[in-house]
Amino acid sequence: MEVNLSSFRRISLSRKTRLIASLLILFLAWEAIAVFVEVFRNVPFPTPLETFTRLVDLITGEPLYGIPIYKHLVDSVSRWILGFGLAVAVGIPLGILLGYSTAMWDLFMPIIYVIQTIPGPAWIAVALMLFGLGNAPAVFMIFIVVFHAVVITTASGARGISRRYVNAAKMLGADSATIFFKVFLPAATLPIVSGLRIGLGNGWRVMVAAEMIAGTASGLGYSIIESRWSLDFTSAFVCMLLVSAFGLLTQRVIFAKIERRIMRRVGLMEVS
Amino acid sequence: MFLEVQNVTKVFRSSENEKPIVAVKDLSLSVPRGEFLCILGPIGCGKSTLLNMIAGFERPTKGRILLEGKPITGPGPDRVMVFQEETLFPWMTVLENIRFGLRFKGLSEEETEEEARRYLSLVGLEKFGDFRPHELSGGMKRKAELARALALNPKLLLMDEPLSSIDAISKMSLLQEILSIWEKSRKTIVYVTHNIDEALFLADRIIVLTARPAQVKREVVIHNPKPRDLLGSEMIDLKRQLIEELAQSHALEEHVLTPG
Ligand SMILES: Nc1ncnc2c1ncn2[C@@H]1O[C@H](COP(=O)(O)OP(=O)(O)OP(=O)(O)O)[C@@H](O)[C@H]1O
Ligand SMILES: [Mg+2]
Repeated sequence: MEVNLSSFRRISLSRKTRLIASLLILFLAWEAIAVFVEVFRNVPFPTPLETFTRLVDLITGEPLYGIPIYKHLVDSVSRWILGFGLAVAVGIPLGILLGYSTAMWDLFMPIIYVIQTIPGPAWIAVALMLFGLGNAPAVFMIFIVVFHAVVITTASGARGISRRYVNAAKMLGADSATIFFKVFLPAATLPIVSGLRIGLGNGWRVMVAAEMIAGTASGLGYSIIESRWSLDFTSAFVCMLLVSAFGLLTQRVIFAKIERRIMRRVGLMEVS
Repeated sequence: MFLEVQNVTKVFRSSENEKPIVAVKDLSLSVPRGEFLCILGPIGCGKSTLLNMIAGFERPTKGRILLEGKPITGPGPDRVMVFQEETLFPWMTVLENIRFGLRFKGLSEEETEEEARRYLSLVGLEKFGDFRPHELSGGMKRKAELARALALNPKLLLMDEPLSSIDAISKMSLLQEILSIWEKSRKTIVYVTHNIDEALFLADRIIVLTARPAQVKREVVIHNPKPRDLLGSEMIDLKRQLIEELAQSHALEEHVLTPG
């Protein structure tokens, strides 16, 4: 274990350099495109430097569409967490049920697939009729998207992964309650966590789209779409930057850490 | 007869694939109590399907399987299988894995613990009881799986290519282990493999299957005492014959797979 860990750290040093190089390429390309657009289209295109300057202005208190940038961020994150939380609360139990029982799978999975084919923002009509303008329709759209991701990943994963463990348990003479709680559920941990990961990412992306159309009057998505009228594209770039940075932080850093901990706990290794 | 497989046919019908797959066709064999039977067959011929039916996970499409005269209706602890893939529960320690099956045998707490430890040391894993499966080597995992199976004291032990993913050196010691366990317990064992050496080393009798659909192609009884020297002339002769039989099965398979 110790050996693995230290070799991992050693590798990660050179990989860290490459990560920095990768970001550098991104910003250089951005700068190049900005220059190109300014020269050939004669349109002011926010450069990385302008964007960061604007970011600092906004962070130090300049309001964006009448609201501090913090509030936009906090509102976005709250909608995301609320939609995600509700979807997980319903989606995981349902996914487990569908993964456990073939009859339930046959009955409900087609419905989930129908829902899955419709992209989040396309639910706008339903969302507006159900909830009117504001927060709730955005949360609803996030909910729908996370919901089907969680159900499908949990159910299909649990079905596949658990079969061999369930078979082994049957052979060892276990009763059905023991099989469900001591074997099926732990075996389903891996797909559940994958479902959470996919749902988290999908939910974050649809959150931005939902705020553009649901009339939330705050949030990162809302601030981006408002630039169509205000022509404050630099602020829109700041918001894109925040969407990306916060998305990466929550999914690739925080959730990845939690995920690794859970996997170690269950003794399962990540498959992909 | 202890175990009887009578004219068993197994057909798989998958909904997407229109053509049904005949995995096993009109196969009969019987196993007396205490025999170590090895079933040799080419890859994909239906060996696992046969074992799955004996274990009770699959039902024959035609024919029947009797254990001590009673038809098999489902999986149960009297016929324990060591699967081709790993099935130790990764979220339990090795000892917890072994205890898992014992809990359903109505033993007391102490008896369960005692039995679990006994079988753990039988396979030489005394020191690894508190390890998780992912902390063990491939060979140790196989041993743990074997211990979990043996601890249930089944009437019949089914082994589906238990050593196919094991390196050659660990394989030798595991083979010896399996042999000594069989000698101590005199359990009836049905051992499926496509490795001729394993079969020659372990078997009282070898049944060679044809390519899919599996049918009995040849039967060889080996009287030589165990442990056997696989480099002795008699064994080498036998091996040559078996290689030929298997090669024929393979050729047959290729012929079937590429019609016209
Ligand atoms: N549940 C199933 N549904 C459909 N087809 C199946 C099923 N199980 C097995 N088969 C098919 O039956 C045939 C025999 O499979 P089986 O696993 O019994 O072979 P095997 O001899 O154990 O192969 P291997 O040496 O690879 O372990 C294969 O063609 C396989 O695709
Ligand atoms: Mg097989």
